Amino acid sequence: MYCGITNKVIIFNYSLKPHYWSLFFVGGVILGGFIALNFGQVASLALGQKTLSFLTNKGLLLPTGLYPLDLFNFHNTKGIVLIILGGFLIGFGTRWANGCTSGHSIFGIANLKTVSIVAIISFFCRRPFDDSFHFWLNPLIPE
Amino acid sequence: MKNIVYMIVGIVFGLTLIKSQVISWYRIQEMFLFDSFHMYGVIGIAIITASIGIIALKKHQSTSSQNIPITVPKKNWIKAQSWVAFYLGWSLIGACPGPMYALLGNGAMVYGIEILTALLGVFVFGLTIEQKSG
Repeated sequence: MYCGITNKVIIFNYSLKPHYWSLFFVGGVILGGFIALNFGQVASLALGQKTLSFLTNKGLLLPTGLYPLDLFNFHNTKGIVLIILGGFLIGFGTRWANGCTSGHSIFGIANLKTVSIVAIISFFCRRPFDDSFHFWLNPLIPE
Repeated sequence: MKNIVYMIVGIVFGLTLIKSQVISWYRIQEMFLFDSFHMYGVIGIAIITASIGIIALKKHQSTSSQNIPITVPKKNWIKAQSWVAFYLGWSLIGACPGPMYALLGNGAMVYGIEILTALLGVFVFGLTIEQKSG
């Protein structure tokens, strides 16, 4: 059944073999993250004042690691809902936009691609106006 | 065997992501609040490095380890909604497609869920929008 779907869908009509390298690359990224655990000191984050008061306002603990353990853990339903929702949006959005952060902001700008520059500018211009991040996060952050 | 090259590049990339803290959820909030130069500095240097890389690759007409000439794929115009979808996801959990693997390797098992739902997102994209436009 699964194969039936993939054959009919255009996006999945491609040969995997020339793309094997990307699987190795992804495996390398996971390995790199693992090596970082035992390589040098655990980073302490010196965050800006606005960010620290933002965290306090949201009722989150100050950073002890790279990501908020009190928000994203297997026992926090809100965190899991955020991860499921956010993950879906990231996968869907990246494919739709033909690229992610590094694809557009780093490589796209370096290559002077108008589409990438517009994409990045539009994003950072949008941010202060609609405050959507706070809007989305608000109901989901633990009290 | 050539794939090992890609794996080494991946390892370096994963290490860089973790050690430069750009995969940190906190750093990403900080960036969105325009509260620190950190992320902009990292991205800025990355852009300069990429520019040099692109110029060098074009000048030497390099080929990849699979002997394919390296060309920069043309990016077509995209819909604004696609950015909204990506950035909402990014700002919600602060880990885009590269960092989620690095974080998983770094012991943040909860990001495994993100990898699965991101793959689901791509799959659903294939079933819906790509299918219609293609």
